[in-house]
Amino acid sequence: MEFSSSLPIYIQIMNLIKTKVVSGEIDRGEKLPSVRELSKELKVNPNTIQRVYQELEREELVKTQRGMGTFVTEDSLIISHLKQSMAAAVIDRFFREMENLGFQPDEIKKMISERFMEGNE
Amino acid sequence: MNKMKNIVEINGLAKHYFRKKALDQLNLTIEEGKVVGILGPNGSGKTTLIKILTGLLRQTGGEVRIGGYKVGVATKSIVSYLPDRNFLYKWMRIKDALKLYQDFYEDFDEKKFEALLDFMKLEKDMKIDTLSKGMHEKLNLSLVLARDAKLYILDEPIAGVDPVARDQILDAIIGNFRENSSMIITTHLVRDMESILDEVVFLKDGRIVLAGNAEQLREEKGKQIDTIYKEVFGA
Amino acid sequence: MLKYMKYEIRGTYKFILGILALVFILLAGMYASSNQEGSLFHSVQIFMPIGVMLLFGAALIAFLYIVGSFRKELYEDSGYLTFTLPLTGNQILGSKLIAALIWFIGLGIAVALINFLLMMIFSPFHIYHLSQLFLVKSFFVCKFLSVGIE
Repeated sequence: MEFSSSLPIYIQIMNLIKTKVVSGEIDRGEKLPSVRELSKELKVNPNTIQRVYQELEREELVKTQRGMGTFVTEDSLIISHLKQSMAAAVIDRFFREMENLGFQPDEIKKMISERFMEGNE
Repeated sequence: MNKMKNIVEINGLAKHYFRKKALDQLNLTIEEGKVVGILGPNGSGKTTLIKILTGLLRQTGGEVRIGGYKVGVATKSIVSYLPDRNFLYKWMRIKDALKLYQDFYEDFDEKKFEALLDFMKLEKDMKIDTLSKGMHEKLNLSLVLARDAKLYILDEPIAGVDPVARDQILDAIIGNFRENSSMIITTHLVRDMESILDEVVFLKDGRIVLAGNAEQLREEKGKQIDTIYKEVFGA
Repeated sequence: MLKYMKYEIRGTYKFILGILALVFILLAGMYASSNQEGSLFHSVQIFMPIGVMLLFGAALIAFLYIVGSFRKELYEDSGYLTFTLPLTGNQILGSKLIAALIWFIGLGIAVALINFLLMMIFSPFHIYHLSQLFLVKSFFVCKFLSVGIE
């Protein structure tokens, strides 16, 4: 995996996992790869993965059971909240970047509607 | 939270030659389970430091302890060293090297070695002097990682090998990670290795100019270790 | 330490065998031609000194080789292996010296045997060969002592 320089690696990996969970690519209650497996796959230090899982557990997205592994939460409420906040972050970023380009809110609204209509044809 | 044991403790290490200070008042500790990158250009003292840790050179001053022992026969049994060159005897076949490691190192795991050989696509009957550079590197690494040592010292493990071999080597290193061992890796190919390093130490003219947890440094400076390296050692 | 000697011997035996083969061929040649009337070697005055020089040469080459291999280890890449093995410097040195000793004695005995063998086959000047053998033996002893002193 190519890592960008702007964020710590462990945060980038957390985001990767979060994305997969909210999109459904990883199911509720599904078992995540072991620390060792994932570190091999992503080519990072296992301590980094360890930290990823710890932080995700702190955010209550996953639960680690000794000897069994790390599992995604069964709680769909948590997942949908996460989905909402991740979406909000994307939208914020979108608006920020559009404003940087000099667009006003109404112009942005218009462009979005047009884009949707194109999509539906 | 139990205190992590230190596998390596270096205090005031110095190595002086007639006119030159190769190492100057170096202090460094390495905890169990950590992968530490020693980064620096040629002449920075990297090689000298490694040679002292492996017992190939004697220090001029200061103290070095590995696993509590002073450098000597005791440390050689718990340190698994990968030099940056082809160090096996030219007359050997791979199975001879296997035998040698078995003979001298109690912590050598034959099964692990065979698994690594397999992974690297090498065979026991091969003659050492017919191996390509990449195959050599992979063989040497297999021997070194098949030992259950307290400290692994890898000197430029991926320098001069093709990208495919490089990946295999990195995979083997990551896959070999043990909780109660530590690893020291020296490299100038920082970009390829930085994501597997826990901590980094920048060595310049025999002194440590910057050291710390890799992720923390990335966060603090908002840059990759690779970029920090270029800044520290300047174009 | 015994374990290391195994490797030291495996590293050097080919060269020693090579010298032995060379000596054998040259000596055989000398013995064979010494039986022929017109040959250079028919006369004792020539055969013996040349024979001695040959053996001296072989001993010298073996000696220089062993010394060379000590030096080589210090400068070549294989030193990275040898000197990081869990052995003390003395153990390594001791192994090499004993291996050298084994070669010298072995070489001496082998050469003596070759001489006997060739004598049986060609049987020229018996008496002179016995004295030659003595010279050879004492040579090797001196060589070993000088290496030991070094």
